[in-house]
Amino acid sequence: MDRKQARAFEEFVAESGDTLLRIATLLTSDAHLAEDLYQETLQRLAARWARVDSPRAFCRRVMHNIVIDQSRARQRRPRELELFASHDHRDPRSGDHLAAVELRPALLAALDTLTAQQRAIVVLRYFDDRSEAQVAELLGVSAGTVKSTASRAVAHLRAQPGLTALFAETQTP
Amino acid sequence: MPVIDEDVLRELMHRSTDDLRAPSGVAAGIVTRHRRHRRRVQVLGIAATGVAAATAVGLAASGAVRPPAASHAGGAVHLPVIHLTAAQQALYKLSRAAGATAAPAGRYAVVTLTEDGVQTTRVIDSVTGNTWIYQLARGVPKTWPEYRAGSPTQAQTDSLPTDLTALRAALIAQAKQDQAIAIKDAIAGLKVREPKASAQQLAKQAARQQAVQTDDDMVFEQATDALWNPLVSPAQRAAIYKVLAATPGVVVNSSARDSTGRPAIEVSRLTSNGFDIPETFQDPGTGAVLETAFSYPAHAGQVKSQDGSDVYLSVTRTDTPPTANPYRR
Repeated sequence: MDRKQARAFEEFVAESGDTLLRIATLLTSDAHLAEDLYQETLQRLAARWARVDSPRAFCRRVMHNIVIDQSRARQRRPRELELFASHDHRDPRSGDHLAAVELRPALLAALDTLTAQQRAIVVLRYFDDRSEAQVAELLGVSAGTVKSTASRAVAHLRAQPGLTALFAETQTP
Repeated sequence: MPVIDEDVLRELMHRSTDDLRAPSGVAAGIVTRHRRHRRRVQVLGIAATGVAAATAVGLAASGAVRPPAASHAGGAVHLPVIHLTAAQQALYKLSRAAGATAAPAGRYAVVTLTEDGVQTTRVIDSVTGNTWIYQLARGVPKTWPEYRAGSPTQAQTDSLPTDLTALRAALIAQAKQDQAIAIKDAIAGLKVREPKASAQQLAKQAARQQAVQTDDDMVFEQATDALWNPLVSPAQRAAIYKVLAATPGVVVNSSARDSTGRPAIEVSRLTSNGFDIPETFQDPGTGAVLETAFSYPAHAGQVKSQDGSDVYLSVTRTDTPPTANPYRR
């Protein structure tokens, strides 16, 4: 990475860092894991910066791959019991964001009930506003799979106890 | 007001994460690390070496830095007894090993390594400073090998002093020059994002983005970078280990192994801001660098983690100029 490339990398991180961390949080549900995922993704991006055509797409693909790998590794390990709920991830540097703090635990708990693939599709499709074709290309699946998986995942999320009220409340005129 | 489930979910995801901000330290660490990567190709610039040498002479002449004083009694010279710590002894051992190696011959230094897992070969022309970089990885452009000019030549590298006081001053001066370049780069980047900001504001903001470094931080960083440089002579390498032995905070593990399992002496130091731990693994027999890596210290119940590494597989010299990409199929 030469100086010009390093500057472009820094600009990309400055512009996209917050979004990447938010995607990482939605994919992992844990503040520490999300920061690790964010960090690992940027490291891989920096190492390949000169050869990456689309840094945005690269980061999303890498995040998904890491999450899938971690998910498989977790399945091979004995299950660990969670001593404390880990869904309160308020960033102390941010201002008063009660809405986010109140919503996040419920949303992340609901996302935890999805498979890694479903979750990635939902996050990329609805948080990142990617088209079905783009999500399909990023994840290496067909557009039809994205469409049907997204539809089933949204229905599943709507039925989650923590989100049912929020869906109803948000939809009430 | 969203009325379909997908829109509700979209709004919920945005509202529930809009307070999250990316930690600036992470990006800064990565950028710092890659600046170091760049420096390994352009380890020592002519201007900086000249400035550093001048600074070192000035410091030595002014008496700002003195070697341990000898005491005189009745004409006999009694040198004070100095007890070296185990870490210092290990570094002195590396110094002796490095100093005893034969000076390499051949115009081109050929370094093979894995850079964050990617097989790489770097060829440095010691006469012109031109460098060729070949990589074996998916998506490597057809235009590669990447070619860079401006790496230090053998003549420039030879001007690195072997006197310990002068060497320490040279390393600090080099670090300050690197920092000035980083600030200049940061200002150029900020100018694009904030075109209305004044030059003073941009300079202030750019300076804030830089890691605060003590002189000892600078010495460790530059010394470990210089150890990597294949053009550094055995005498210079020996002196660098002695400078490291006199640098506070250096941690040595004499029974380490690099990531390929080779026996190594691990030399590391936590930066004074507590953010990262640059590490280097040395061959106990020759003092050559086997691997360089960055680690992050353990925080709040997390374990120490490593941020990639460069594993050096071979360093040779040849008079044959590079031609074809060794990885081209």
